[in-house]
Amino acid sequence: MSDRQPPRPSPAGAAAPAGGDTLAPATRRLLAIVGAVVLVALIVADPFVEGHPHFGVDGTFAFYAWFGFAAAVAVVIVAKVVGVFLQRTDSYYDQ
Amino acid sequence: MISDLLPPGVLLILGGALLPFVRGPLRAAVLLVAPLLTLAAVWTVPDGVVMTAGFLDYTLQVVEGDRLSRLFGIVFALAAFGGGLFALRQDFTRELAAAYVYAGSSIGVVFSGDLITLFVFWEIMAIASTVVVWSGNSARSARAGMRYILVHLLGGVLLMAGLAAHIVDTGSIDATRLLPSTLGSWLMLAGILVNAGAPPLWAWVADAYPEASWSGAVFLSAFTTKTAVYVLIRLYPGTEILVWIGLAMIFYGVIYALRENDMRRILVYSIVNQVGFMVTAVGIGTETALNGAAAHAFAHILYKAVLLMSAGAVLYQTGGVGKCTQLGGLARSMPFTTAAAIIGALSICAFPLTSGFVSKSMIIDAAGAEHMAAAWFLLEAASAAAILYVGLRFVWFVFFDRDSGLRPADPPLSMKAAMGLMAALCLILGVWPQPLYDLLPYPVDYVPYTVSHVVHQLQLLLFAAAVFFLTLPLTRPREGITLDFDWFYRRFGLMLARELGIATGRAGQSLLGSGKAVLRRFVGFVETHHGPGGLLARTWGTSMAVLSVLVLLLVYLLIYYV
Repeated sequence: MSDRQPPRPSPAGAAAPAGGDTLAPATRRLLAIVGAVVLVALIVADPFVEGHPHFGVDGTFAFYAWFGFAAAVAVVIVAKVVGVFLQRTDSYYDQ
Repeated sequence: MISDLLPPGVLLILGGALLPFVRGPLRAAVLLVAPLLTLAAVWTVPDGVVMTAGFLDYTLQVVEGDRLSRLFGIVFALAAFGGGLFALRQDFTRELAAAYVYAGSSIGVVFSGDLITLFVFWEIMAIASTVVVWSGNSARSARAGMRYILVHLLGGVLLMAGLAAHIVDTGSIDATRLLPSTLGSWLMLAGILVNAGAPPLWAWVADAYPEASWSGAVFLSAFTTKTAVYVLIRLYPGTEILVWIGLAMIFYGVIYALRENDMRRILVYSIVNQVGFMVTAVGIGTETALNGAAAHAFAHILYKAVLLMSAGAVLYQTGGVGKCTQLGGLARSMPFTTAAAIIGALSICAFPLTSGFVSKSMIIDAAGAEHMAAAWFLLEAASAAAILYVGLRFVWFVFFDRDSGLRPADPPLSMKAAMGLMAALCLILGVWPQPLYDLLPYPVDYVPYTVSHVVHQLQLLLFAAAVFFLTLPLTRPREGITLDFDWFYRRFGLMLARELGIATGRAGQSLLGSGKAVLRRFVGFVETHHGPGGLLARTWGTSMAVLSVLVLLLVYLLIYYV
């Protein structure tokens, strides 16, 4: 970064609960409930939606839901495995 | 019309060249007016060859317009305007001048009717973008910029070699569809793919862009890779290997972004990921797929600008804090920036009502329509994964999650205006895609908003999002880097050079040593015989000389009589 940046504003000290969660526990709970309801609603709605499957399996019940879930899990796992081999410290190239 | 007098890209290049000589309000005026004039010029370029020039034995088609080049020209001019507005407070003029030359030359590429003009603008882009990287003004950006230009010069050499071979083969310099069947066309394809961020040299993107300044990265995100996409659409539609190259880029981007701690590097990995979608579409090569590639490039430039602007705003307001591990909770003090980042993130995930939804789905549908099963399933999987790495990773860990205690305010008005403009465009195109569809190269027969499409997309994204929150402890950013292909030229090359240096050093030493030994023996020999006291250097007595002559005469007599 260039040295002509504005000075870093000092962290707002006592008023800032650093390390705590940004969202209040009640908000988090509300979001979790809303999220769960939306997920269930999407599954329930699935049989009423007529898709245009190209391959057969993509026309099965709630295909996009479980496929999205499985793809995300797979990517998280692969990223973890990659890290086992390729993770280095921040200063690796500075040495 | 402006485009009759001057190529539209050159207009912006001249704007950039003017910047170092103007100050204050005049500088702001040039920054804002030059891209707008360029936009007007691009918009009015008619179909067909508009401007020619002679070069050696060739007639260069300096400006040739069609729907595809206008589409890319328009979005490049928009990106330059947004970047210029965002960078009004960047007082390092060299960066802005270079950025405008860079943007202008990318517009030059998309209006090139022949390969020579294309190559010239292509190389100007490489140089100008390197100056933008260097304008990060740190030791890190200096080194990253040097690596960046080396990779791009290599790409340029491949392109030039291919171009020369192609011209020798065919005698044609037209920038029209090529089949990768000759050496020349393969070399050109390789050179273009270097700029697209394709394997194996893809690491340059994440190596260089995040080292630019808070404003420089916004410019860098827009032009180089998308110009390469344009050239691929123009020259290599339907080249099957591009499907697999694109898919490799998609998953590389996801996996590296998921491991990354630097917020701008997360966004830059997602550039490679999104360009992968476009490259795959070019490989599919149908009209819907090429429309999808072009539309996705348009949408991508806008939402990527929003995302890098929001990251730039964080960097600007915190004085350079860029690591996710040091950020968090900024939504409290930066509500505007947070909102812009969320809109950009939803767009990159192709959430309904955003621009990504109306463009990315064209690509996936094209794969389905061609019954390319592997490509289709992988593209859907990658779309689901997209929400993990930017949608949530960037937004959640920078603006929410654990409170870092930092309380930077929203950035100044000009930066907010740029973010707001780009975010608004993302939403407008998402709700009303027709203006974008009207710009596409082929007639559009595609309806993005059907009930099944929206429900399926929401299922895909929201269940993937659920995985993000369920695996939060696993994916939380950590200190550290993940090795990439650049290891080969940053570490392996160095090690190889050292090792070879030592080995050749030893060989040299021993060669020199044995040479010296031979010389020493020779000198010793000469010294023994001719040195002081040597046999041949002694002074002999007269009697000895007479005796020697006598012996010689005797030998002569003997030989004579025999």
